[in-house]
Amino acid sequence: MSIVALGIIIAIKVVVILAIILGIGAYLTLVERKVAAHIQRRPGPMVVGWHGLLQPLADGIKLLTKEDILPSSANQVLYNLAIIMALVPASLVFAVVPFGPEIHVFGYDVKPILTDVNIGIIMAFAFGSLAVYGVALSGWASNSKYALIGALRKAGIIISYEVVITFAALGPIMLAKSLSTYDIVMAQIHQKVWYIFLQPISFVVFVFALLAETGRVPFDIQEAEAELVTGFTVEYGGMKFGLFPLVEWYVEVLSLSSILTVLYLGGWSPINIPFVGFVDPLFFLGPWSGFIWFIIKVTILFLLVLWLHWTLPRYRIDQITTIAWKVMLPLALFNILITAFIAPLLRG
Amino acid sequence: MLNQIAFYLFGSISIICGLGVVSASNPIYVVLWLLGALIAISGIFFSAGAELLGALQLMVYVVAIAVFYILIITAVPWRKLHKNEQHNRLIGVTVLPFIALLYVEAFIVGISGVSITKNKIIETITKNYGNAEVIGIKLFSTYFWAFELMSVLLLISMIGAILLGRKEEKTYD
Amino acid sequence: MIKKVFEKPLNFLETILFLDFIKGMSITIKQAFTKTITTHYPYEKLTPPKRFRGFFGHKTVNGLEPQPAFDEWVERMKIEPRPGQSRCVVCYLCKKACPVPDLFEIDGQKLENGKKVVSVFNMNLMLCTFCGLCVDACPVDCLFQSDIHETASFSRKDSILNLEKLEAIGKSWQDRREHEPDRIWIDDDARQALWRENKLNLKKVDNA
Repeated sequence: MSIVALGIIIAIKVVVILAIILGIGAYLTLVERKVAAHIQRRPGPMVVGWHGLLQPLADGIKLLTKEDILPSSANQVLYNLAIIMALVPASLVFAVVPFGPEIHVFGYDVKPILTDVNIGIIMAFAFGSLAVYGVALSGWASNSKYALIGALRKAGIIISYEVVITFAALGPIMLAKSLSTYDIVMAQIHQKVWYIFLQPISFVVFVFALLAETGRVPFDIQEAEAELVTGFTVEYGGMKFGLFPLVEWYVEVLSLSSILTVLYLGGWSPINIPFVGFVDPLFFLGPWSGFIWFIIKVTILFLLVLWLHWTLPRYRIDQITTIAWKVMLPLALFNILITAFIAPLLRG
Repeated sequence: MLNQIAFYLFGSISIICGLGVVSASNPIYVVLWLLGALIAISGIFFSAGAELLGALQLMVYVVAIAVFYILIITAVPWRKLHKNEQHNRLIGVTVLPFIALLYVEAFIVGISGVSITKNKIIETITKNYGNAEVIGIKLFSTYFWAFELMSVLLLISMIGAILLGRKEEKTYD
Repeated sequence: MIKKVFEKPLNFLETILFLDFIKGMSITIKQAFTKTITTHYPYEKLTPPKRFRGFFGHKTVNGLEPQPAFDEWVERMKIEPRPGQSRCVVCYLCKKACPVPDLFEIDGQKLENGKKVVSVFNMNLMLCTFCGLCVDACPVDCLFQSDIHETASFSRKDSILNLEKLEAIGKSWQDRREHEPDRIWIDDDARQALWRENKLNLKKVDNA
């Protein structure tokens, strides 16, 4: 493969991934509003388009045409830099997410993953937690007490749950004997088992850490509306205000759900019967069924997150950190201990 | 060729960011420059093929440690930042010869050239297995004693930190 | 006696199986697939109860006035009752009852036969709190609060109700709801039968 072809393929991948993520991220606002509405027995947006299908466009136009207000006592450079620092790392996580099996397009074997580095999982967690800088800076730069308190809370949560999420993910990594996202999925396919069956504790811990990292209920203390009036975004307006929830609630949830799918749900593999094999009701799609399965799994996880969000009340900040250090971390360590005994029994 | 370009790019970024660290007066800017320098250094690791080191650099230094800086600095009130405080120039002047010595050492080492293992063993292992295995093998064979000692040290310090941070229950007998 | 009520604490098995989470989530998923209970407001409108405190109106002389109060007040204030026009007897009781000093602007006009009719009756709704004290004060059941609740207007001029508008609101309300039994709450079907679509169009004021 020549270097030009490689460059073109990488460029196409970047464009496709960015377009999909930002486009879907915008439309997930509609999904969230619909789910929330129906849980509360409302129909949600109904006016713009059929059942409100054009509502995200209307929202986007509204946010873009709003007046751009800069707080006079804010630090203007950091105030704007914070948005970039929130958006970029969250989208960078998708660089190591494998969306499907290797496909054969125009004479090239293309892996649907931007960079198949051999430490992909660590990259994902590193980028995922880099997003805390956007939050912390936005809180400090807006020079508002609400924003600062929200940012400090978010930073505290990220520090706690970054440890938890890494230790939880060590279980599947030990079973797969690899740090590469692509290889972890391949290991699950070869061993004919999704790691959720072998790692239920770690799965639950990971889901909770996902909720905490993305600021979802029951861990959304950093933007507790009742006390902090949405926390660190309080001084932002227009599209700048719109970008923070877009990043935090949608792009990050999508990225961490993808990582969760890769680690525990066998990535693009079809329905699994443990240690027996895979059943694929979508066999007629040929090699493309993998992509569909990946999308289905991420969608289910996203809906689960929404379902939890609109059901539960929120914890206090001290309860959140207590859960992280006194419950989640010991559970994850215990899980690693058990996994160390299970791992040699699985054939590689 | 591409590697060299990447190396010079990240190297120059890290040097510029390092200059920013020592010249900026606002502590938040200092931390941001430091962040840039650390990310650029992890970029150097990536371009050199040491992906695990680069990722750990990102995770440990960029996220975990620099977040603590941010946490502490965001608690600094705004009006204190507008004062032009004197840096500790005396300490800086005192430390300068030692830092210069460090650079001289690095220069000598760079010219004479060192290698951890002979016969390019590491490169072959990296190609065959990957970064994590190399580091694992090195840690658990050559540097096993140091590794274990360090683990025990960290454990002791962690227990110490917990003991110090624990609230003493006051008992008056 | 103070009775302290505590939730029964979850036991260990229930805690590790997230039983409280599952209980809550089962409730929300059940609600998610039931029919919605909302009204699609600009397209569907609920009918307010008859005693709703909405826009003000003047009931017109149509033979349903409270007797003998109406005749007494007509005699006392020397009013010429005109069928199909406002019942107002220019007694200024509403203005006196109103907690806001300048809300009402009322004036009468002397006719050639020596009797009076109301000529000016302006209510500045920018000042109004819809407390209904003026309605209670009205001795002839003229001023009342109708069921019109969409009070938004594009200019401040439109928020002033003059005599013409008040009479229009009153006539429309008398057509639609005067004979409705005075119940605080009736079920939707009965109300929908009573309530025909509100086609009342208030004219815009040219000069305030």
